Amino acid sequence: MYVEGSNVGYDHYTTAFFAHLGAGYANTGGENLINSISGVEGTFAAPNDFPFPDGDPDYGVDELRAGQGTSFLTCQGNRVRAVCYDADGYRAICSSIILGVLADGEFTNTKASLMARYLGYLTGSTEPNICVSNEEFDFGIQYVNYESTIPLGIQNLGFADLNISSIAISGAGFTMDSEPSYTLESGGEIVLDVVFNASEAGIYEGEITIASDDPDDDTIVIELSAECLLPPAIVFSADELSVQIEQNQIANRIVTINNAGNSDLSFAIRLEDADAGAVSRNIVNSSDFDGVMLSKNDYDYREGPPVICGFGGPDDFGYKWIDSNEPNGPDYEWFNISTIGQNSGLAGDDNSVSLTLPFTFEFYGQPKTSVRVATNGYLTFGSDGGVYLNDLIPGNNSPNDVIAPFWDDLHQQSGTNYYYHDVDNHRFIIQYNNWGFFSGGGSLTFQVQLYENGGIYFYYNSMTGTLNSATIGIENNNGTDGLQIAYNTGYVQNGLAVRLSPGPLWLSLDLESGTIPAGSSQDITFTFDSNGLDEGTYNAETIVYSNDPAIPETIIPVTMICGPVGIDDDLLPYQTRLNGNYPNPFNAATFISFDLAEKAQVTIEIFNVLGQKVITLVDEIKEAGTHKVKWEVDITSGMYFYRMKTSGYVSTGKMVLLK
Amino acid sequence: MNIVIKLYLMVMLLLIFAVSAGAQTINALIWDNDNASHYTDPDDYQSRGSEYGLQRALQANGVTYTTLTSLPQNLSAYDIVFVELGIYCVG
Repeated sequence: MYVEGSNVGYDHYTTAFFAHLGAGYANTGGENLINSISGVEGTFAAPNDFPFPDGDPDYGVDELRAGQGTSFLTCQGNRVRAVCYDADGYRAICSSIILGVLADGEFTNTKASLMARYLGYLTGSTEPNICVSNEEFDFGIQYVNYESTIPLGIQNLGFADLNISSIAISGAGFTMDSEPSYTLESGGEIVLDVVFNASEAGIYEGEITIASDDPDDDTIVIELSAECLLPPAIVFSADELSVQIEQNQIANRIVTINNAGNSDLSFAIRLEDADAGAVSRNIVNSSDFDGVMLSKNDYDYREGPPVICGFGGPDDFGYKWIDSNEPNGPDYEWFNISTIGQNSGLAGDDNSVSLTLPFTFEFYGQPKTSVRVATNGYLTFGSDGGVYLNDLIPGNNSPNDVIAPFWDDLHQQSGTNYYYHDVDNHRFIIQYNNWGFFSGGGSLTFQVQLYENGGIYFYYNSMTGTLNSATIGIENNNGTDGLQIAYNTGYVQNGLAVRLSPGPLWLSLDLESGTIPAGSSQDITFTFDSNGLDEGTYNAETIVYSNDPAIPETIIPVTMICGPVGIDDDLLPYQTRLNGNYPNPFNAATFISFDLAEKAQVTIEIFNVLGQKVITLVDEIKEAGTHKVKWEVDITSGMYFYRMKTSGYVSTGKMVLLK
Repeated sequence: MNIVIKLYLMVMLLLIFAVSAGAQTINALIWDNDNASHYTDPDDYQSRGSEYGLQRALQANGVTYTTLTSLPQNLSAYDIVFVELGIYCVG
C-alpha cells in the first residue's frame, strides 16, 4: 500500500486511524508526508517525499473528472488530488476528494461514473468501460425550421482502450455528425453534437445506438424526443418612444406587443439607462443612525426613521423602489410556492444555504449565478449568511451584497424555506413560510422574487410579531451603495408588495414580463416622470427578451425631453389617467397631474381619512392633454385622498401632508 | 459544479488489498471514522454524513458494502476499505 497527502500526515497523524495502523509522518518542509506505515498484518509501507504530480496538495475542488495515466481522477486547474501507486500487488489512494461531499457532477462526471473509475483502478481492471452523458435527450419545445443542438459526451472510464464500432442515429428531424467508429484510450472522451431541426410541427422521437467492446454494456440506446411548434412572432406597435414634457410632470405612453405567430409568446422587459452618469432627483433620503452591537435576545432599542411614502431612491447605481400602495406601484399577487417549490434545507438559527440561480442575475451591475439564503431574512451574494443583528443600509458592516426583505434575528422555528423557478414568468422565487423570530412568537410568510431582467420584488403575505425591528432594502457588494426602505420602524403589513428596479430613474413600466397567446396582444404602459429633474434630454433603452426564435432580443430606444412644451396634438396622451401628485409627502402645496384622452368634464376632490370632503379642486370641462392642478393647504398634517372623475373614468390617489 | 470544497478540510483514504483483477463481486468496507461529522449536501441541501454520497455511488455500481464506525482487525473479507477521516483531526 502507498499513502500520500500532506493533510493526512499533518492533520491526522495523532488520530485513531494512524494509531491503528501504526503510522508515522515526517515534515519534510513544505509538505507533511507519511514516512512509514506498518499496520494491519504487516501489509503497509510508505516511503516519504512522494512527489505531488501537480504541486500544491491543498487545493479547493469544485469539479472532478476522469483523467489519464496515474492521474486518473483530476480536479480543476489540472491539480491532481487522487494519487495512486502500484507496488507489491497493492493499490491505494489517499485523497481529499470525497465523492460524498461534492455535488453530483455534470455531463460524464457524476458521482456514480467517477466511482466506477475508482473501482476500475482499485480492482486492477483491464477492461474498457463506456459512459455516456445522457441516457435520453428531451429537446423539449422547439420551433419549425429552427435548429437546436445538445452535446453528447462519450467517455472511457475503464483501463483499456474502448473501441466504438458504430454510432447510429434514427428518427426524423434528428441528426448527428460523427465518425463511423472511434477508439478511446483510458479516460478519453469525445463530444458529439446532436441536432434537432424539423420543417413541420409535431411530436418527434428517435434513437442513438452506440456499439462498443465494453464487455458489460456493448450496446447503448439513447432515446430522443422533441415537440415542435410553429413559432411565436413578436411585433411591436412602436420601434421607438419619444416624449416631451414639462418639469414636474408625469406622462404615460403605451406600446403594444402583438403575437403574430402560432404559439405562446413569452417575454421579459429590462430598462437600461442610456445616459452617461447618474441622474438624481432633488429628494432627500438619508438617515444618520449609528450601528450598535446587541447580543442575541437583547432588547433592540434602536428606532429608525418613519417610512413616509411608498417609493424612494435612486441610490447611486440607479435602483429605486415603489410599493403597492402607490398608484404606479406593483400589484400584490401572492404566488404560493409551498406546494410546488423545493425545500432549500434552510434550518435552525444564524444559518444559510447557497442556491444556484437558474439564470444569471445582475445586481449592481455584477452577474450573479448563485445566492445565499439566510435564516435571518436576507439573501446575500457574498459568504456571510449568519448575521443576526440587522443594520443600516448601506454600511460597511457585514453582510454586504444583500437583498433584505426582512432582516432581523429570525429563526426557523416550525417554518420551511422554499425555492422555485417560475420558467414562464422568468423569475426565481424564495419563500420563507411560517418563519419565526429567535426570541419566539410571531409567524412570518414572505417572498423574494428575482426576475431575469434584474427586477426584485418583496411580497408580504402573513406577518405577525414584532414587525418594527427589521431592515428592508438592498446593498451593493462593498456596502457603499444601497436602498434602505425601512429600518427598525413600522412598515411591513400583510398584502404589501415592493418592487426594486435598476432601470432609469425617470422611466417605469406597469408590466415587466408575461405570456401572450397566439394572435393576442398586450399593452405595456411606459410612465415618464420628470419630478425633480433638470431640463434636458434623457435616454434609455427598453430591452425586450422573448422566445420568438427569429427575434430573441429587441431594443426600443426611449427619449424624454424635459422642458417647456407647446401645444402639439402628437404629444397628447393616449389615455385618460390620474398620474399622481408631487411632491409627496408635501408641506405647503402639491400638484396633481392627470391626462385626458379627449375633452371632458373633470372633477378632482380631496378627502380626509374619515372620508369627509375637504375641497373640490377642479370641476370643469378640460381639453385633451396633460394637466396639473395645484393644491395649497393650510390644514393639519395627515393622510389625504384625491379622486379624479370623468364620465367614464374614476381613480383615487393617496398623499401625505407633513407640516 | 459551483460548490467549492476546501480539500484540506476533509480527507478520505481508499485502500485495497490483494487486488485480483477481474473479480466479479466487490465487497467494500466503509470505515466511518469521522466522529459523525456532517456537512450540507450540495445536491439537495440536507445535512448528512459523507458516507451517504459514498454509499450511493457504490450502490450505483452494484457494489456490496458494509459501514462500520470502528476498523476490524481482520480485513480479509473486504476487497476495498474506504476510510473517512472527516474534518481536520476529528478522526
